[in-house]
Amino acid sequence: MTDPQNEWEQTEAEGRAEEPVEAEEARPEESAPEEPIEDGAGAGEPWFDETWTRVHPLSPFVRGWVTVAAVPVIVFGYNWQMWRDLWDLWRSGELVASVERNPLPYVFGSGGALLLILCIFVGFVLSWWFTRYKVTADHVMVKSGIFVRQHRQARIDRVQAVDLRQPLAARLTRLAELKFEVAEGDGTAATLAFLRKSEAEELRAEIMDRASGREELAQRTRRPDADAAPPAEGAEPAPGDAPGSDRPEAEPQGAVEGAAGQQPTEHPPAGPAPAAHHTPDRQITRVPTGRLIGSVLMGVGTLLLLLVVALSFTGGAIALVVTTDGGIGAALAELREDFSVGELISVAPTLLPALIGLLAVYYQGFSKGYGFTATMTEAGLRLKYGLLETTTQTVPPGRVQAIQIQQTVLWKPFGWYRMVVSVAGYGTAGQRNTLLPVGRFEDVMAVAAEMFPDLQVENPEALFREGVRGWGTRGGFTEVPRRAWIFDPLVRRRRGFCATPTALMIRDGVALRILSMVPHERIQSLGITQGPIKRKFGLANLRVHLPGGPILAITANQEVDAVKELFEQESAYAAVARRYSDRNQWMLPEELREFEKKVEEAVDAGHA
Amino acid sequence: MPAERPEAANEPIDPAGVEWTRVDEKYIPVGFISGVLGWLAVFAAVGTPLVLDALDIIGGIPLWLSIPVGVVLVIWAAVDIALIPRQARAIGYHEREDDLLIRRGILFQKLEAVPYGRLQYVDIQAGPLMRKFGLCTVQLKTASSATDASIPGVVRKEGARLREELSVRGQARLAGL
Repeated sequence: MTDPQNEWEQTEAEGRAEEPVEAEEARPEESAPEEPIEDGAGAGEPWFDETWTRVHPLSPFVRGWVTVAAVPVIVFGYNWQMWRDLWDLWRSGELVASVERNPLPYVFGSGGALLLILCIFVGFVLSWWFTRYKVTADHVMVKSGIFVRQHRQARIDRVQAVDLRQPLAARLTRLAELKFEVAEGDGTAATLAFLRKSEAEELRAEIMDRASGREELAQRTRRPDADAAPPAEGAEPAPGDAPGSDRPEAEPQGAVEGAAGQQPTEHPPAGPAPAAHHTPDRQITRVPTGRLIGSVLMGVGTLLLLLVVALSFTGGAIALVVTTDGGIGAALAELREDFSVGELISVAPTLLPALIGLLAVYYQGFSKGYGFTATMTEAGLRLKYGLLETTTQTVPPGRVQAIQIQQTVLWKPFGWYRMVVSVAGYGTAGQRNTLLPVGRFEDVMAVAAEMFPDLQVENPEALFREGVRGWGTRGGFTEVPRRAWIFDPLVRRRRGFCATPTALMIRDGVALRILSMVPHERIQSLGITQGPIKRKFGLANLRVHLPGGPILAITANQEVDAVKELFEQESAYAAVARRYSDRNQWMLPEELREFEKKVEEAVDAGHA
Repeated sequence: MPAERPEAANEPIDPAGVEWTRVDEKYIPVGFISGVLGWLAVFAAVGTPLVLDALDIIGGIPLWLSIPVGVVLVIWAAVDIALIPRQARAIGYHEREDDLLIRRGILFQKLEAVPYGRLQYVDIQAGPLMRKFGLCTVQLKTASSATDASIPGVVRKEGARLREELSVRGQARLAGL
């Protein structure tokens, strides 16, 4: 029986399967951020008490509707002929007669069907009943599972990001799912599905506030004697604010009790206003549908298509010339003879799977990027996108490990760029690493300015322009020395780096232009490598080690002295700069001050 | 070839003024033993079909294939094993004020810097062979899986000291988190 229960258990099993991987990943000596505790025995102690909140009753349906819909489709689709015969029997009246003659099989049959439906329903109800969550001062905890019980928790101060997802069914029912990311591993620490959208938004705002330390700050400045914020267990949705939540600018930010006082319109501040931390949301950029369609058409799918076509043409031509006696002339003549439209059509069906795959690539690009908006909120850059399934994800600038600006050769005439971000917990692949699916240079600058507000260079725009489009040594970038052109005949003048006071910028590529930016304080460790030939040429490669993500910060074939200088400089930065360390509450002022001081020291030391 | 000077303190990529702490000389026999064992395994794997061929159990391995492959493998193995002592001597580490430097390699050289503040944990590993010689491998982990910082062939006492030292320094740098 493929009812959603099974699906439910599968997701659990996956959740556990991830564990060893995460254990291998960097794990600090202290308590792990996420630990599925299996106290399935539960002897005596109840699995949960009244402090645990239930998710929305429709959750299992929203989760499992595909399965529920698939069962009849499969049943009817599989033996369609039988059902048609049955229909004919019914119309001719034979069926009724047959039932009257011997009702037993029909009773069993319909009883079985009813039982199946009942089982699914009971399964849904049970899985709803057994899924509870609780938000304490330190943790978000989710318990689920009917038979195999699971308890996942994420430490709030280690939460890197909270995503709000709305699959199609959830959008229709105005529900939403929250995903909590922690630093280690590619897996999601805890998934809370489903809540009312308004509830989910409130909870997200609260968790993000706490994860960033902003709430602590507010408490300290405003009501130092107050207890820790009341957990959001009882977070009843504020009546009437659900419908308006579809507008990106009007999302109820920080409207939770815990963040009270930051939303003057809803909670008039009791004391002196907290430090000016409440800023209205600003829309940074959006992707018009026209540009998105253009970018998809000029995207990876087309690039692959062109590549395949070119390869098969050359391959076919070579094969033809080789197999035909008498050289190219004869081959061409034979081609002219053999070639016919009919033949082409007969080949077409074999290409169908590839064509469907190609269309899927296009559709993916379109549906994921549809309606993309980037809004700067208090908690970070809020990205919202999706055609059928919408996702709202918040990228906190303080947790960005690196960003990368990319441009493929097909986008060059249009001046389009893509931006990718590396945030611990997002993993190495997938949509969530996309900071901007397609944008013009202005959009790139706008987004980059939010991520890295202060490059401490005179003209950041010129530097960026140089990074994504420029070549040679202008703008302070390095290049592969001329004597070593043989290593990089095409990208020699593009391959290089530039270190600003706050970030390391690495650019590369001609057909695929890349500019990666890594804040110095994000660098975990560094490595230089040099092989025998490069030693002869006085070159070396530098690699900057970042926490997992899609961005590889590596610059090859650079002048060995430049690499060594950068190595020294970066290790000096990396040694002192720890403000953005993963477990930090990055908004706390003492952290900021401490960091600034340390950086200044490091810079001075570097100059001395 | 510049690679002829494995013990020279300053290869082109080495930072100026760094005195490398080299790993223990006992790591050379360990390297020899594991190298020889590894190559024996390779020869066993490659040699099995040849033996079977010679015994007429299977057939069809032409001489033009087996002889060059064999020669290449033997030369490769000889060079590899001959390089072991120098490779072992090329491994070095140096504790600076804020980070640990690790270097490896003669032909393909690598230099890594791991800031103490970035250390997530320090691991000590010792297989049976290493244990027999009283050695261990010190492995440093940061939040980045790309960090490949390990020092093989450290005397166990020194390894323990290094771990203590690094942990303490890491803690000191992490203080206040």
